[in-house]
Amino acid sequence: MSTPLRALVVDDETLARQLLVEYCSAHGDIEVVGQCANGFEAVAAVEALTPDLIFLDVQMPRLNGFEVLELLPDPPLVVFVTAHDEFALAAFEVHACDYLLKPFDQQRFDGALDKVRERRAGQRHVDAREYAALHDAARAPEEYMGRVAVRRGGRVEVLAVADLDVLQAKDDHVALHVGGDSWLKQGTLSGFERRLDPALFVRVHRSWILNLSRLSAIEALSKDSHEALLHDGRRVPVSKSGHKRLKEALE
Amino acid sequence: MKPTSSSGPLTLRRCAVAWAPLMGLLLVAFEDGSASWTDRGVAALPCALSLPFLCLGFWWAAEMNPVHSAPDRRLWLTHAAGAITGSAIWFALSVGAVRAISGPDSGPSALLSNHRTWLLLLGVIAYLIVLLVHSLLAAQRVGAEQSLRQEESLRLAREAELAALRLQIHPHFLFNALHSISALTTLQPGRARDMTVCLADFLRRNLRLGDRPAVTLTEEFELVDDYLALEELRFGERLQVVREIGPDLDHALLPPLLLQPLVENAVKHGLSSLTGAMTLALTARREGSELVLAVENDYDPNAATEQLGTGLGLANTRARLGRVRGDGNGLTVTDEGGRFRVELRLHLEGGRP
Repeated sequence: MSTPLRALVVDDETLARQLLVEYCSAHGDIEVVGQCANGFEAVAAVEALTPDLIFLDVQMPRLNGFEVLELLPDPPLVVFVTAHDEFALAAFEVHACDYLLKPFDQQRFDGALDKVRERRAGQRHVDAREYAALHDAARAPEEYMGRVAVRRGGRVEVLAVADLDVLQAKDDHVALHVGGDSWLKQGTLSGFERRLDPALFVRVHRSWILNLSRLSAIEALSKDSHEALLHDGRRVPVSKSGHKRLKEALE
Repeated sequence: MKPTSSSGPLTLRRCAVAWAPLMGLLLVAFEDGSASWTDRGVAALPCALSLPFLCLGFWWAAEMNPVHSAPDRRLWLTHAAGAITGSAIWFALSVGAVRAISGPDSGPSALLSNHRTWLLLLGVIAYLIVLLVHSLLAAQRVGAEQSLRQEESLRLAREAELAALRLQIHPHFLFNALHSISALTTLQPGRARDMTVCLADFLRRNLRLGDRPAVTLTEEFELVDDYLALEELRFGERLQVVREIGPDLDHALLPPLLLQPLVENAVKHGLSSLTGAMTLALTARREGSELVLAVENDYDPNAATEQLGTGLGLANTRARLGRVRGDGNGLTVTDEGGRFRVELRLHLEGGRP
């Protein structure tokens, strides 16, 4: 007999949490170690309690279930709980252990737990970047990113995308520069490029994406290389193809 | 609108009206310095009497070969042939009649043959005038039919739109409410039963009210209360509701399901940006001859929220109000310091907007 699964229940509705706890109580190998009423609590609780499994509501105030996962460097196994079936269910099946559509009964819940146990036995590791891709897949294709969840230590912030000045590739992270501050977020610059509104953001360089509203001037350094000057005085390198894209976007 | 003896654009009675001026015209035309008034009268009378009848025939020809539908060469040739034949028949009839009355070599017969070209031309002109009048009337008729059809399709579109606006129950609301009730069945069975009834009431009211042109404020608030009872079940302390309903407004009338979608938007808007509690304020008051309804919620203006699609809901409400009021001043949105307020104004007429 393996050690019990330590589970965290995350839902902004009290009754929904109570129901999950009740369904869990039918299983001897599950221990509910905590309950959270929103995404911020969930990020902190995963850090503090290191659960094996989260039951995660998708629609929550300010920080949704996908964004919670994006912020966890080493996310536990996940079962999504939602009333919305328009999310890409196929993506759920690949990346999450299971998804439970509200309302669901004990039998359906037990089925989800079976999948969790299988996944645990297989020990397949899913990292935050995959969840970011999942979040991407679940988004309607014509919809651009409106906000981005970031964290530094225990502090979680949800930034409006319009507030970003520049984005800079840094290894397997992207640095989001906002005002004088900057936040590191797991992911690739290309991933961001796809999700950002091209009318507002332009990839000016292999390592840089620029918020057009921050652009003050473009200066030529040589025939093929330019530099973008921002309102706050920051200088951002502009490659040859980046310069072409920038000119197209400004037309 | 085919010409008949009693109605239509060209009737016997109208033909008769044409006789007098035709007579006059022909009397003047036959003046050649030598012909007597009698000769001219005898020559003119059969021409004037028969032409209007022939015009009835011309009308029939125009009706059979209408000019308004993309005229081509064949059509013009048909009408040219019609005009010449018609004119010739008229001339032949007139000559026949005059000869029968006064003999082949009489003065009137001579008048007709002397004015042969002129009379044939007059016949052609008469044909063309009939054709022109017919085309104008037909075009007018087509225009009227078109605008009637347009009006009809507009009316249908409006009805469909209204039906869509009325059917505002969101499936996610239902799924979440059912999930909460399912949780209650073991925790608080009595309350689970109450909430089941509440949900059924909400659905029934939605169906019933949506079919009516207007509902009373009391009825609309019963629906809103059912909705809020279910949301309070889900969100508990996080949803605080304050109501302020003025006196004597119970029987004020308003379009059905106007308030409930706004309340739903307010709850979603507030709860999606606040991790703590939100306050929802509902007010109804009389202001002069107007019923003023307001739905107000607090939210965190600094929270970067996902798109909720409230803008579209508000546009729908604005459109519905505009249709009832006849102007665009029925809806006011104020968004200040974390309070989002939607105000509706409806005309009260003797307590009935």
